[in-house]
Amino acid sequence: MTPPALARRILRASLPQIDRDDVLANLDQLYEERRTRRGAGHANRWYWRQALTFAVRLRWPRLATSNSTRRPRADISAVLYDFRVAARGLVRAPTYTVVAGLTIALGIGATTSIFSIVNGVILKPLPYPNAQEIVVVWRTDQGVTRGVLSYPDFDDWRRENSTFASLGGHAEHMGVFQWDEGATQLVGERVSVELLPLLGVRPVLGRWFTDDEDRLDGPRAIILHHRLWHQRFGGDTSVVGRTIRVDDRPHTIVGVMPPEFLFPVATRDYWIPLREDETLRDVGFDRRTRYLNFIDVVARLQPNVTAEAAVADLAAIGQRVDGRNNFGAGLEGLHEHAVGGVRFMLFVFLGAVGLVLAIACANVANLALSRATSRSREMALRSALGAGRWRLARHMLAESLLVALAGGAVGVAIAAGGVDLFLRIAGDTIPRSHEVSLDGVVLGFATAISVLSGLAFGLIPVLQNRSTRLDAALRDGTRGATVDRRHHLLRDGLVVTQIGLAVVLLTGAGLLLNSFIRLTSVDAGFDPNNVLTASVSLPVERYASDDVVLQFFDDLVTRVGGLPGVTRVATSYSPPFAGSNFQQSFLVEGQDPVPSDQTPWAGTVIVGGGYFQASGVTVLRGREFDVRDRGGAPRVAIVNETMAMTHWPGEDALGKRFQIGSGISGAAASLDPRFLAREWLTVVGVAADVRRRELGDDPIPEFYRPHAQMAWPAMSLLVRTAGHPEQLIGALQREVWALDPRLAVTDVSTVRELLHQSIATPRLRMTLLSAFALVAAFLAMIGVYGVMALTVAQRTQEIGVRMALGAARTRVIGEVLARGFRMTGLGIVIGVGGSVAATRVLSTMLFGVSAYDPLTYTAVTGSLVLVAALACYLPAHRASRVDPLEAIRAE
Amino acid sequence: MPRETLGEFEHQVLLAILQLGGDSYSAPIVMEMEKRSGRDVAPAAVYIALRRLEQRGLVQSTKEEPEPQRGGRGKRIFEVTPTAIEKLRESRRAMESFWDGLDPVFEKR
Repeated sequence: MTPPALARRILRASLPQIDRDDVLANLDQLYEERRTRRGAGHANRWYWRQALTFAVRLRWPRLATSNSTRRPRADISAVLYDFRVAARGLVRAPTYTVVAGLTIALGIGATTSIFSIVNGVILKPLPYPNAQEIVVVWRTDQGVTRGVLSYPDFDDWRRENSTFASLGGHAEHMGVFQWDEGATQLVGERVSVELLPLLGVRPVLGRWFTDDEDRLDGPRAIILHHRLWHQRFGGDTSVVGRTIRVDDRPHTIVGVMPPEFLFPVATRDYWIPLREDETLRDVGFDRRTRYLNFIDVVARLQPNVTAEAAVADLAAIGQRVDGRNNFGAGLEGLHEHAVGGVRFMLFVFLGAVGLVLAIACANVANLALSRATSRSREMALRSALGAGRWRLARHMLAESLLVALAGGAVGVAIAAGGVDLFLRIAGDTIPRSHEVSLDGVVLGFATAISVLSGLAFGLIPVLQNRSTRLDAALRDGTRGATVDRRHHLLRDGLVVTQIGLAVVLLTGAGLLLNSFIRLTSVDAGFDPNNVLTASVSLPVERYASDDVVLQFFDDLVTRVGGLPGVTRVATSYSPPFAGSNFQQSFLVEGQDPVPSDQTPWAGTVIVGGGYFQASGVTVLRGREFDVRDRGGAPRVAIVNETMAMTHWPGEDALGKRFQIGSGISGAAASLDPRFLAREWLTVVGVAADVRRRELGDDPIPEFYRPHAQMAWPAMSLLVRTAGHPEQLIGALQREVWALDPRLAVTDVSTVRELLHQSIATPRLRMTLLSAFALVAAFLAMIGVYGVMALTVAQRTQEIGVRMALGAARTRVIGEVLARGFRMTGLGIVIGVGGSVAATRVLSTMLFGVSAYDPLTYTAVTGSLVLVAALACYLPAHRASRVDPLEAIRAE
Repeated sequence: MPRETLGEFEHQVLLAILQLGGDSYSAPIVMEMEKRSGRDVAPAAVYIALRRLEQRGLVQSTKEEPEPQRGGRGKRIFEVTPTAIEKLRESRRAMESFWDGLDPVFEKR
């Protein structure tokens, strides 16, 4: 049992950093004591009370000591008096208070939610000391814009540079961990010895790596993440010095990193030294080769060194080798590197909720206006009795501020839920999402926008009040003021603004929705339903020859194929949408040699037998791979349509030949000398294009090779099932362990789920903007309805008299509707104008839809007109039902 | 300006620390005060009182080494300074002089 999370969050935010941990730990202990003594409900209530007490006492010590002998200063007491009177007035008008407060709470809640995301992801510095000095460095070369480095190039950079205080390298690592109960594969990071000290985060236990441990022949060491330490060792402090088996080799645990250390991304469970280029040696590469690029570089700039000087320094080092004149470098801040990709999207969200807040403010301003109007007699009276204008204004502002602050408080509670909801919808699409919290900055922001909103909607009735003529108001409290045209104008103006803003949001959301629908209806090129995928990677030590590897996968396919509910099974190098991005260069037979920077590239996919049936990818011409395509047989390939059309335009690609080139690019795990064997491949089939990474990507040239001719040891299974594929997960794992209990099954997922994840970002954008737009439209329609209803209510007598004199009902309805439509129409015209200007910023987020898509604009305006008609019709209908006798009697 | 005399609450905090003897970090202090007064005591009030007492030199605190069972956080242990002992003694003496000779009044009821 833990204390209520939100209360804990409030506590965290209000405590000074220095005592934070201590107080929280003490409160936890007291909470636990209360819970065992008096039950969880009591303890939770108690904890909440303590959280609020701490917050109030530490943030506003004066409030807590108000009963002391200190006397408030005179002007403070006057302001407090205003607030007290305002509070009494609000309590007497509960409907106004609740409706206005909730409207504002909705606006502030939405704005605060998005702001806390922006704050945690973009505004907060990274959790490293002097994080602004840390940069990400990359290599540029002919045709390479952001290249990773080979080990020798990295080594040259770190030893010979004169512009960096420190420069470290890292690369992803997937390790098979041997536990007592079996093997699991985890994802960690290989880091050079400089990297952890460079980032400056100390381990909570143990130490960083030593120079020795980063050498090829040094002792093997591993540092665990706090999470893994807790999962596997229950937080046992004696783990340092213990040995665990990773990739069949003993590693000594030398340290544990704190939970907030999430380098380079949140999913890393451990770190091991780079050890020069060990994995390359394992697969038989020449250690000094500069063609195999896999190291990401992070560095700390020396003080007073410019980015340009550093880049020139690194480029010069690279150019010293083998006359690589095109060798260059580039860099950007680590923070920019981490969040640059989502900054724009988050600011679009922030802008969108800002509009929602503006609409909410306009709504409340209208409410406040009607309230001020109905109280104009009271105001006039107070004014006549000698209250100055400033005094009256202060009173009205105090009321607005109270409503806004109360709304803000509810808004913060909404935001607490809103942030959780957002992060759940966002999934992995937002970096640093674990750093998002309702901290002091966010609470300050919420307070500030509450005050600003309060001023915004409070000033409008104040300004209006200035124009009220005292005598008219005194003579007849309600009617005298309403006939004033200026009030109508002000109110209608607010409604027009609301509609305009709502149109902008609706258009934006409509465009994203339209674009999302187009994206999801793209033909992926295969059938994603009822397919389970899982990866199995065979360690080279125990699966050294091609025959052993092929035998294993043949056995596995046979065994899995025999499971009940499985209709087809095949293997492939990477499942669709799993993010693998492996390409190599090639030369087409009979074509003129081209300069090296213009050689064509294509994606390579290794597939086992039966792949095309299991995946549902259509072979358009020629044949599939079969038993003929054995290891010793002539090398064959199946190319996709794009490759066929790009390289053999106007001809039949079948029977044509191409040769594997010397270029290779992909993740470290895919770098293997076998890929570089300069073999000639004969095209035996042409397959339909497949969207392999994202639905929105244009298909790239790709070719398939049979697994039998390229015995790759790490393959994914594609299991097509009759029923729900998830039910097979357990059985699949058992079949792998039946063949080899030391193997880990990884990346288990359905293809539908992978497809779902590949469109997570567009879905997030569409969902969020649609939600904001619907709230905006709802608020705007309430605004329309409110103004129309008020007008009808105030004109009851006039309408009654006219109907008594013979005016037709339809005419009365028509008049009221006409005013509503004038406002809506004007709002839409302004809104469409605004949309044309504003949706341009969305153009980079759109797929297959123009930012000026006429269909979207028509749909948005059309539906808005319909809803507005309904919002106007209800009050108009009521107007037509006015009983003339009643109305006149009231006079 | 720090006040010269001890408030009732501060009094209780100081005595609770002394009653505890050794392991006097804030959670046991709160529990000790609740036990002796029979009422709920707000940790925030104790926290603020301790901070104020520390500023006035009446308590001093030391941070202990982190303990794993507390999520790796160390306790802040509070000790009553000699100045505070002197103040407590003074105030007890003053109180007792007020009580002097009133026993018959209270024994009646």
